[in-house]
Order: sequence, then structure tokens, then C-alpha cells
Amino acid sequence: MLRITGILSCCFLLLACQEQERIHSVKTDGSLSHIPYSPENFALQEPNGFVKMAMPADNPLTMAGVALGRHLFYDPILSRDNSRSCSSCHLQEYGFSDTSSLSRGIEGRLGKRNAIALSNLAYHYTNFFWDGRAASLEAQALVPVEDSLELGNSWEEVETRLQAHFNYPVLFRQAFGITHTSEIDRSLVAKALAQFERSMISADAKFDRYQAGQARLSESEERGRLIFFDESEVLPTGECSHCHIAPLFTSLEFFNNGLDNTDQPLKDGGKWQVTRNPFDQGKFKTPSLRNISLTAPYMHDGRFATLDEVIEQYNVGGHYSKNESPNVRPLGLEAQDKKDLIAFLHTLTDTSYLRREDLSNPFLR
Amino acid sequence: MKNRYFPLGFILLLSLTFFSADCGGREDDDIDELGEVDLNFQGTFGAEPLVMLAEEYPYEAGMQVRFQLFQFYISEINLIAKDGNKLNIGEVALVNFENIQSTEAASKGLDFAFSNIPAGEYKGIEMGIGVASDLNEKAPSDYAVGHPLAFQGNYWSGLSSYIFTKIEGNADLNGDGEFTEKLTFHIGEKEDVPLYEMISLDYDFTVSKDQATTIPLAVNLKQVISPSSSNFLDFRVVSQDHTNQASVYSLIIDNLKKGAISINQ
Repeated sequence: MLRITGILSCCFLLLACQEQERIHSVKTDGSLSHIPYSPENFALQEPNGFVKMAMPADNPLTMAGVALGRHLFYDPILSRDNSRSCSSCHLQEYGFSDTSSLSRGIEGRLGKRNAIALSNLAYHYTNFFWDGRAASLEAQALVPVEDSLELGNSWEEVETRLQAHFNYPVLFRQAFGITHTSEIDRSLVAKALAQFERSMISADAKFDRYQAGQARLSESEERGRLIFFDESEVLPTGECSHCHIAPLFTSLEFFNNGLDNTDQPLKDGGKWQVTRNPFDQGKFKTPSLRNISLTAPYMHDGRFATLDEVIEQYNVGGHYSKNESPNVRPLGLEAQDKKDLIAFLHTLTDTSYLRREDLSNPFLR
Repeated sequence: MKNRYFPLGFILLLSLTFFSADCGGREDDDIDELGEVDLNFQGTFGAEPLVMLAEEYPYEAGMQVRFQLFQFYISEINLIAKDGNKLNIGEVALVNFENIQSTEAASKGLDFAFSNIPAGEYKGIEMGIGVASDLNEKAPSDYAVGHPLAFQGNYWSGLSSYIFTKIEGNADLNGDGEFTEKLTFHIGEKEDVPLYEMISLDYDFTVSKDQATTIPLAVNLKQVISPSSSNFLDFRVVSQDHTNQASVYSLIIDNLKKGAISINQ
């Protein structure tokens, strides 16, 4: 009797597995309609004190969309030689930034800029990249695939690969309700990547807990905070918060922060390369300082290896340019002031963000 | 069954009656006649068009000045009807000349369009310079991206105030052509220093159905920082103030409220 029950159980299990496989497999003609499509809203927790998110109406976050974006973010399938992915230059343990001054693409090709750290992109409603050449996160996601110094691929090739893949058509079906593999295209890839990137919220640094009354800053951190936000009548002003505004620690604007004298030809004109407006020479998007202690090297070209070097650049007031931000001015910071400022900057490290399972590489689970 | 809709209809009728009574005594049948009002702000520095970065202006005591940014908030924007009644047309707006970088752009100015304005005769406009107190109690996190008050860069969390106005640029202190002195003035409201104030400008205009009417406004930045040769911001003495020195921020905000904004004749 026991033997019969056991055999029946095995049969049921086998049939169940076959049924699962049937409804989660692509049919030979590429049809996907038989695979269930029931999008579930991705409930993104908006931290207190942040502005409202800019969520595009045509790309709401869903559980399946974010999951698909996560796979694509970590998958080298997007690169020509299957060697590089978004995550190759945006490393979670470094706040989704790169440790190299200039990021490397396929075949070790040297890029032109430092990979910008990623966090809280749901609040960046426009102006992506250091030079703002992409108006939306979706538009941004389209660029690296065909950049010869990054993933070096063509979208046609990527679409072909994804359509023929054993698993991605199912994920696209679950995310976007497509009915045929041929519907997988670059715009859906970009949407999925954007969804995943919008789920990357960092708001659990010591500074956040301090703001919420749940943590105390050390004496040095507090002095640094006062310098950073220009909130003391007796301490020197750091002038940091004109551009690095809490809670995002960026104003999302472009500034010439005095790195180079723009009266001379610049190797990298920044925003000027997009607008060709001479008054945009040397302007770059203000990066967020969240997780700044982990995102070295610094600046668009990674020219500074340490925070000390960054602060010294600002302390001397940068280099004169016609369009240098007037808020970059000699600060008069003494050695202790600089230490305190760096101590404060370390309070922006969100270690839980670096360990978040749902942001990690799904292929390593 | 018919009576089921009576209360709703009655309330609607009552609402319309009150609305029409509050709109300057216009005839009831005018209530559906709506037009548009455009506020056009043209910046000047004295008699010259105000152009960021591309133009340099003679200043007091042999100095010269060049600007990168001039912006200010206006709030509680009201039109004044002929009979004196006020019609609120806007809660808040940011007048920002940062991207006015050519004389052509300066001549076009900055436009703010307000639609669904009841047709009729009006005799003026009033607005608060800065952020009205009820709005200033809020913070960027209270607003959706794109709202004038959502921009974190115009808010001081330490003072719990929006920055009413910003002026940034460079000065040539001795007329040698080197604009090396950096100027940055950010004026917000401290708890004990109320700065917000309404201004009123006389201007006769008519709003017609489906038509846009422009109210031309001039903003003279010279009047803000240098109303006279004996009363001006001396950049040799002060080149930065973020609402620290009363003599500086009072001069700026008071002049912005008094005389710097006028009807553009």
C-alpha cells in the first residue's frame, strides 16, 4: 500500500512540474500568452523628508519589472563579448560606484569618466549622466549598451539574444505582459533597468537616523555637520550644502566647481558637450554624497583619490573660471575642521544599502 | 427619484452664486467667460537688459559686476478687479533669470501663464515677495517634483525657510577687468526676522474670453543692490551673505520689495 501511495505521489509531482514548465516556458512559435501575467505593484517605501518621487506614468514599478531589471543590471549578456554588465562599474559594496578613476568597458577599454554612484535615482527626475545628456532614467539606460567604451554592443544584437534566451522571455512576459518574444525590445530593457534603479533607495545612514532622532553624532561629526551646512556662527563655513543638499545630498543641478580654468581648452567640457553653450563649459551634475566614503576616487574624472584631496580643492576655492560657482570660494578650513568635515561625511554611509539582498547579484544566489 | 439629485444641484447652484459674487461683481452670465493672464518679467540692470554671464555692468566706486544668477519667489498672486475685489490666480512661482544669457532672451523675459481667469476689467496686481508664511512652514518634501517649492536647493532646513532670493555673480573690484571677486547673496527668513511682504502695482487691463492678456513687469536688479550711489552693496566690504548680516539682507530684500519691480512701460 505504501509503495502504491509513493508511486502516485511521484506521478502527481511529475505532472505538477510538467505543468509548471508548460506555463513557464516559451512555446516553439515564440508565443507567451499562456504564461500568467498578473503584475503586482512594487511598494517602494518613500523615506521621510524626501521630496515626492518622480515616477513616470508609463513605467510604474512592479515586482516582476524590478526583478527583471535586477537580472539585466547584473547580466553581461548586454555587452558584445558577454564580459561586462552595468554592475561591472556600479559595484554594490562601493555604493554602486567604481573604484577606478575612469571606468573600463569591454576588452579593457578605458572610458572617459568615473562611474557615478547610484542611489535614490527615483528622485532624479531629469539630467542623467555627468553631463545631463539623458532626460530620463529610461533614456539613460539605452546609452551604455552601444557606447564602444562601455558595453560595445548593438541593440539589435541585444534584442536578438534576449528574444532567444531560455528565461528572459518569461521574465519580460511577467513584467510587461508581452505576448510574443519578438516584442522584447530596447525600450522594455530600458524600462526594466529603470525600475530596478528606482528601487535603489538609500536612506538609512547614520545621518538619517540622527535626523530621525535615533542616533547621536560624535563631537567631531557634529562639528563637521555644522561646517557642512553652514549652521555655526563661530565655525568656518564649508559651503557644501549649496549644491549637496540633504536629504539627497545633491541639488541635481550642474555647476562648474572650479576644477579647471575653463578659459583654457578642457579635456572634458561636461554639460557643454551636450548644450554647446559656452557658459556650460566645465559644468557637471552635482553627485550625491551618500556613501561618499566608499565611492572614491572622486570627481567626474576620478582625479582625487581621497576626501582630503577633495576638501583641499574646495578649501583653496578652486580655479577661476567665468562660470565657476561663486559658492566655491576659499574656506579657511584648518586641519581639525577638515577632519570634522570628513567625520561628518562618513555619517552618510548607509551600510544596509550595501548589503541589501534585493539589490545584489541574482546570479550569485 | 427626481428629488435624489436636488441637494447636489442646490449646493452646486449655491456655490456658483457665491463664486460669481466674489469675482468683482461681474454679471452671472460672464462666469463662463474665461481668459488667460500672462505675467512677463523682464530683468534690467538700470537701463540695460539683465543678461547672466554674457554682460558686464558698471557699478559704484569704479567697480564692475557680472551676474550668474538672480531669482526670487513670488506668492499669493492676486489680480485686483475694478471694484477692488481680489482674485487669487497663483499660489507661488519662482522668477529665475539664470538662463537669460543673451540680450535676445532678455527681451523675451520670463513668462508665467495663468488660465481660467474670469473675463472682465482689472486695475492692478499684487503679489508677495518671497514665500508666504503658510507656505514657508512647509518643506520641499511636501511637494511633488516640479513644483516651485519642491526644489531642495532653495530651502534651508537649518532655518526652516525657503530662500526668498538669490543673487550670484562676480565683481571686478578695481576696474582692471578681472572679475575675481565671487558674489553670493542668499536671503531667507529667520524666525525673528520676517521678510515677506506684499507689493501692489496699478495696471489697467482687460481679460477677454479665450484671449491672453500680458501684464508686463520689469525687475531692476540695480535697484535691488544699488538704489543710489550712497546706498549700495559695497563688494569691497561684503561679497557674501546668507542672511547673516542684517545690513546686507535688509538692503537686498527691502529694495526688492520697494521699487525694484514695476509695470514695464
